[in-house]
Amino acid sequence: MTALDELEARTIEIVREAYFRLTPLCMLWSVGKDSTSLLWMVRKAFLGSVPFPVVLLDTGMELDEVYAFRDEIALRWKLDARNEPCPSEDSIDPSLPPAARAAARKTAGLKAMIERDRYQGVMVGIRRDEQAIRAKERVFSRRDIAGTWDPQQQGAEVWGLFETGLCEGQHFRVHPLLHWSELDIWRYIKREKIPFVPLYLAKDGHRYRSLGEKNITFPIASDAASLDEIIAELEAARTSERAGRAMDFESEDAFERLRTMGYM
Amino acid sequence: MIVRVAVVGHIDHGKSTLIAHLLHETGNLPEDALPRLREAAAERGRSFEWAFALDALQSERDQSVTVDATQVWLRLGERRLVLVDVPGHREFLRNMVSGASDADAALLVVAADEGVSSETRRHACVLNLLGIRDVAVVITKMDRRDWSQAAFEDLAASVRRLCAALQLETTACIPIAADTGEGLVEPSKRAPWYAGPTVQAALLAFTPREDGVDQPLRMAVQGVWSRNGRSFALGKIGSGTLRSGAEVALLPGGQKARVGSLEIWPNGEVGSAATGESVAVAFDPPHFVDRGVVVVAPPPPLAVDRFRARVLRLGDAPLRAGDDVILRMGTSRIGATLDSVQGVFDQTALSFHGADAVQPEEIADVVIRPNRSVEVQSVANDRKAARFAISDGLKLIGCGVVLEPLPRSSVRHVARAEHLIDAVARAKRTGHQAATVWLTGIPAAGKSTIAMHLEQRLFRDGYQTYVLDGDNIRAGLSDDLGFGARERQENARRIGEVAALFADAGLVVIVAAISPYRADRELARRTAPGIFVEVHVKAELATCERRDPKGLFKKARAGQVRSLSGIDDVYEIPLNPEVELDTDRLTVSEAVEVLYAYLRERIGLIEPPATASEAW
Repeated sequence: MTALDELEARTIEIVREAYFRLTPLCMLWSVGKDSTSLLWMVRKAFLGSVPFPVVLLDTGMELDEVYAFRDEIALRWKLDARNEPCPSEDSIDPSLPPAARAAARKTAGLKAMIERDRYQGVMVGIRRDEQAIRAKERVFSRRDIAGTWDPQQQGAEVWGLFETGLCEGQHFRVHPLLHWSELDIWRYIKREKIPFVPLYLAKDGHRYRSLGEKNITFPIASDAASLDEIIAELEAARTSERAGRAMDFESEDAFERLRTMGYM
Repeated sequence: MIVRVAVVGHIDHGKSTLIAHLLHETGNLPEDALPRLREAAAERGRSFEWAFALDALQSERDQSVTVDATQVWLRLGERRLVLVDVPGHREFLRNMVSGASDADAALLVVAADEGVSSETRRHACVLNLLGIRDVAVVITKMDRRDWSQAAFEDLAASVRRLCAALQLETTACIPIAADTGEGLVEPSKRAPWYAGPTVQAALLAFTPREDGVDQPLRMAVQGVWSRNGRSFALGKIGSGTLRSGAEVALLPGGQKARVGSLEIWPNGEVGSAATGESVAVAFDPPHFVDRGVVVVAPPPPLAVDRFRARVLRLGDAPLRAGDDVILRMGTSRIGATLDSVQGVFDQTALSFHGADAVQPEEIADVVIRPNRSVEVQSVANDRKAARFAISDGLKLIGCGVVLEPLPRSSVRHVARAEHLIDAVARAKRTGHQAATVWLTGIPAAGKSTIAMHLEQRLFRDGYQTYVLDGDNIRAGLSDDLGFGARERQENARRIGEVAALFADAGLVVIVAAISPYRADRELARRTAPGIFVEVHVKAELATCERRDPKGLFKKARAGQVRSLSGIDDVYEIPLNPEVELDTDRLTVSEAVEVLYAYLRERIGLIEPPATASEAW
């Protein structure tokens, strides 16, 4: 098996564990390269079907191309695609740095949805190599009613045996892509011919390396206008993937605060 | 190819520093990371700390301690590694195990100034339990010992001894200073006496443990998926190869099934799938399977009611005999009781001592009693299949490996009545020791004929003896059983139990039964009191077919008889029988003489009873 085969087989195994252990289950689909790749692997896990809703936490501030891509793929792949509007910025903790407030809005929207639809499992396409805090995540991450994460009290995961038992009001964030790197995702997209939002490709010397809200995500300088060029660029890259995401850098603890509050 | 390496060792011996500095030296740390790490250190009024690259939590940075395991990618040319930084504090052993359980190898980090500590030992013990074998020892903070060769060699020797005692293979012992980076990628100029590898070279020497590729098939079913009215068992192949058209056995129970088709979306049907692949399997004819079923290559392993295991306690309360737990094996969950604690591992003495409870973070040998029979594999047989976790229904509170399946010798909840006559008294009366002589072989190899003549020979010389013949048992005691794998197993178990009673009564009991499965014969050996002699009665298949006294081969060839051992069912040849009788070369009386001579050596008459000749 190649490295990509190994990564894929493990992701499919995790997706199936989530589906057979946690009901109801949904998946967050931000329409970026990671969650779209995850969606592709969900289809592999269930012989072409996606047997649960896929949700976009919508701040109304996504890039236009993101909405268009979402609608097209949802139709083509016969998805139960749902839009979850997030509460407005007025209701958000004003002590948070400005860019982090969008993330906090998503967190609030997610929390409301979980409470309303009583999800036991929410699948999220985060990866360990994106951010040092995410590197500490478990595959099955137990959350309490408020969705908060206590990294010091995480359960054990041994030999691919995950904790899946829940108390009333708890849910699991399931992370089937933790073990992938950014480069793996692009190589996989290329191998599997998975469609992606064209914003990742360079236009006029700039491209998006990571997709977030319009007002807080910025393209990077790049001439990578094809998949092969993106892969070559990343092979040589020495900067962080989320360098274009303002929310990570407003203060040292910004990301940890967001995550303990329940951000993805 | 990805190699996963756990970096373990005592708190504050420099694991996170080592990894972060290595990431930097090998070009794996983003450029924008360094300035941010400098800021984070300055804010806390401290000088730059490499460890902040991994210790990203506020609490970790404030206290300069790793709390949770972190996994980072390390690219070294074409090679890809995952380094798992685990916390060295005892309190966070749960996190250490979560990070290290899937590792292919480990770096054991020991600080030169502090040496081997309790946590060094604990982590080494846990590596052993997790089944990790290759360990490179990294002696850090050599600058604090002025790069003294003598200090290094002393410490290296003691870590090597620790590893050897725990069956860990020390692949290297490397002197470094993680703060300055000496010894990570380039050898330290201050250790000209050291000719071994750098940390980078030791990492490159690790290979993935390709577990399971050469093992028999094993796939735990995660669940069932239907498409167009056809139902598929979904799962990831744990070991071996799954082939379309192959005959498999389904656990629990050992029911036979045939793989109809094997699908991988969007490619469609594939002919086979290898270890590690996630697949969808349909059986033909359809079989009802559900989550928890395990698909294995026949014959199915032995089902037992108890097994011995080595476990690591990962909770906050002691685990005691009588406690109820849930076993997590593959995708199944089985209620179980902790039958007894046999011993707790003392990590200083490196030996087990008696205890009645397993305290948090302790490793212990225990006996576990599942609520139903379970087919288990010992860790010596199959490292991966032997693994399990213990759950309280909500959280994982331990993990372990099966050491040994235990035969159903002591019936649960039944007190055994004690005889007032012991084996010695019986031997005095019979004039000889009791024994079980177990003749195994394919049909028509000559088992019954040899058994009956041996019985006559022994009886004539004054032995108390009796033959349990497979066909006779089938006609009575086992007339409710068919010839499926599971039923053959049960038949062998019954013969073994009856033989054990006869032997207990003081007789030389001779069993003549095909008993095709090795595991069943091993069970009979364990069940038997005293002497057990396995005899392989062997002959070429062609010879047996020519003899064919019962016409079985003819019927099998005509398709009227199915599952004839040696023809269309397996016969597992004994690996190490006490006696081998080749009936292609030996006549019946010669074979009987060979066996008789062997038995006389082992259970010769103490003194012939006076009535022996008259009895004949």
